[in-house]
Amino acid sequence: MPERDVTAQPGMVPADRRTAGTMFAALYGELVPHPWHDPEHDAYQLFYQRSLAMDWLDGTAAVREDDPPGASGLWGMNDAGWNHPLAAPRAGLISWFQVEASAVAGDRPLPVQPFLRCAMDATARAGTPHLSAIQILIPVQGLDASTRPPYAAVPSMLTIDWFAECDPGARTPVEVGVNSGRDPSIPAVAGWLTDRLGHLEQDVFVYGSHDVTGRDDVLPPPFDDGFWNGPPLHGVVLRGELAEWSCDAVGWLAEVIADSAAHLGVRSPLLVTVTRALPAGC
Amino acid sequence: MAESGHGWWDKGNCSNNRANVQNCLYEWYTDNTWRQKACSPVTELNPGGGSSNRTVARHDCNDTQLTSWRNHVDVDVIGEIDTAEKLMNQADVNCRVN
Repeated sequence: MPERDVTAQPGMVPADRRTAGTMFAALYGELVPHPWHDPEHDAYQLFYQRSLAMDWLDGTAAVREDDPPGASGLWGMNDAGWNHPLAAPRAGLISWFQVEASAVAGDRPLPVQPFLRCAMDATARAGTPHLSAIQILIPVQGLDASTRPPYAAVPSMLTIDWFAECDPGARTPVEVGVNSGRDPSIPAVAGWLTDRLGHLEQDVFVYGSHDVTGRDDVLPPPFDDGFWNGPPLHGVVLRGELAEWSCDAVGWLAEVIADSAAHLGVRSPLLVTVTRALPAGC
Repeated sequence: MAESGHGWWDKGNCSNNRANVQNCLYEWYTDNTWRQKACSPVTELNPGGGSSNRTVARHDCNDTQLTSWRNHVDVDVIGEIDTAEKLMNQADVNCRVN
């Protein structure tokens, strides 16, 4: 057994494969459980197995010590559940998911779309969800805007035509809270952020207006302040219209906000809360 | 805040349906050692990793500095000879235990 250095401190393995940071998704609304739902198949198991099946799970670390590396994927599994002790009372949390996002390639966004797709698939396996809000913690600090190639300055712009075939009647008014916690960066760049969103050639999210928000305007996330540089002191709310009320559209918008914020020099995790402004329709 | 890890097993080509499972959390130190910080109880589980068939090891964080962690899962299928290796998952996490 190797002798231990009494002066040694906890730290990070040198030259280890780095990750982008923690992503967290919380889905709010109502979940009508399927009559056949077996509580044994909980959010953790369903999310893990869906991630594995779709090849989204990073298996590089899941090795027996001397095995060759496993598949690289978009995230490593952390935790998940249907309810959470830190959820705000009466907020209507129906499920939550926490992963460690893998480092992103220069021309790819943070994988918020597949992450929310997996979260929604896992939730819908247990019941029929009717979502009123989606809250996502995005590791913007894991993006390096300077490495984006010119053709993918905002990589999610390469996929806007997925939403071009949406039913025009599915457009949905939303409010989009973007909060940088104790870091005042988001209110400081709010004007530039909305300019960027307005000037991108896309109509997945059509920007309308924005206001600076305070702590009381934010749906409290189901995790500790120390987890993300909280509490949510500094933020803005963007009002606008999404092409459809779906996890795909919300994920796309979150990816664009993340890249736009990174280009503007934001280096803190962002809490993005997208709330449907009107009752059901699609 | 806490660091946590889960343990479970899949049946694979085993004949039996029960296994004793334990997972332990290890924190990396600058002398290049991995130091055990928490272990779940050894628990007899069915395969599949469902809600009643997982172990959990957990340790509260002292602060949120980025730190390397490993989660080792040890599975002993009851009534079968198994090999000694332990499944290991490694991640850098904003949780440090001093």
